[in-house]
Amino acid sequence: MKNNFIKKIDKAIISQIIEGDSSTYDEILKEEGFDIKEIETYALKNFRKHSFLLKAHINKQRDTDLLEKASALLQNAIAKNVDKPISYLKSLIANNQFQVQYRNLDSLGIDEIKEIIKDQNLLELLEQLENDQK
Amino acid sequence: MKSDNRIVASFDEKCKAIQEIYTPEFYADLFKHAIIRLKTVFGIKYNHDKGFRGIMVEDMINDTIEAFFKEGGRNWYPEKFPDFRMQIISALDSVISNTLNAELDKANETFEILENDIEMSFDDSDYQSLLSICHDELTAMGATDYELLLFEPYIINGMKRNDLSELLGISNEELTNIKKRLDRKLPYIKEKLKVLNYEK
Repeated sequence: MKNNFIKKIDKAIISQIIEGDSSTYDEILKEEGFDIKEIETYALKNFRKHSFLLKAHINKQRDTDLLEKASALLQNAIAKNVDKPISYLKSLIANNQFQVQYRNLDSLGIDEIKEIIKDQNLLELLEQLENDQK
Repeated sequence: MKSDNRIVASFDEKCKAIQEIYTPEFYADLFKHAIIRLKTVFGIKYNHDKGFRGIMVEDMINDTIEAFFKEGGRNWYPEKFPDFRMQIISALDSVISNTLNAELDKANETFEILENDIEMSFDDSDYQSLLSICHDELTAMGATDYELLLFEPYIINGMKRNDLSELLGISNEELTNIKKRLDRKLPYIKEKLKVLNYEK
């Protein structure tokens, strides 16, 4: 029961922020002796720094996900002997320094496939692979 | 995507949402929210230049947001929190509590309101007692009769502004002003309820 009351109060407080109204927070902080302008300036400085880092972090994670997906699709294509992806992989191997290491596609592990495709346009590759599988 | 039978947003959905909601204003709101939480829950008056024992609010905010974009990191449950900002605030509350409890080495009974969505049934006697405690606290903080009148339908019963305006026979503008005055008192009421040894 007590927690239910607290929950309702919390929802009321947070809903103001979601509605874009921070005046209550500002009033509370003022009453506690905080300088709102100072807090906002400091927060803005940190937002600028962090939004840049967050973008880089998300892009990196997105690339990792794409690499995972594309490698898994290629491995699957090798197992099912699908022509187009196999030709694509072969051309990649033939055109780079991996040609000696990876002659037998069947023996390629997921990490080796990742190594081979990591510098390619993964989004484009993934679209192509998904189309090939249809 | 489902996890524990709950729908969770995909990485792409989270990316799309963060682009829309991650603004300087929201970041400042998170900062203010954290400072208020430190004050009301832990009694800490935060200094943004010095931090608190090496704990910086910006680090807690940044870690909270990044955790949603790490493999195996935090989930967004859109059914429970249709607005991603609510999920972030809830997560930030958890991070603050965990960080501060670890630092202060004390078991604060921090009830994570948004993480715990269990609806409890209302029992009349408990309800009236709690309402009375809230009213007493509001009165002690100098709340007006209108603020007292508004507390139950607005906060506890979640009535809409238009309905309240009609019910109380006051204009929307007047209602907004009363509501704002009441809102400012809510964090203190909440903390007062928390420390009460009243749980049924």
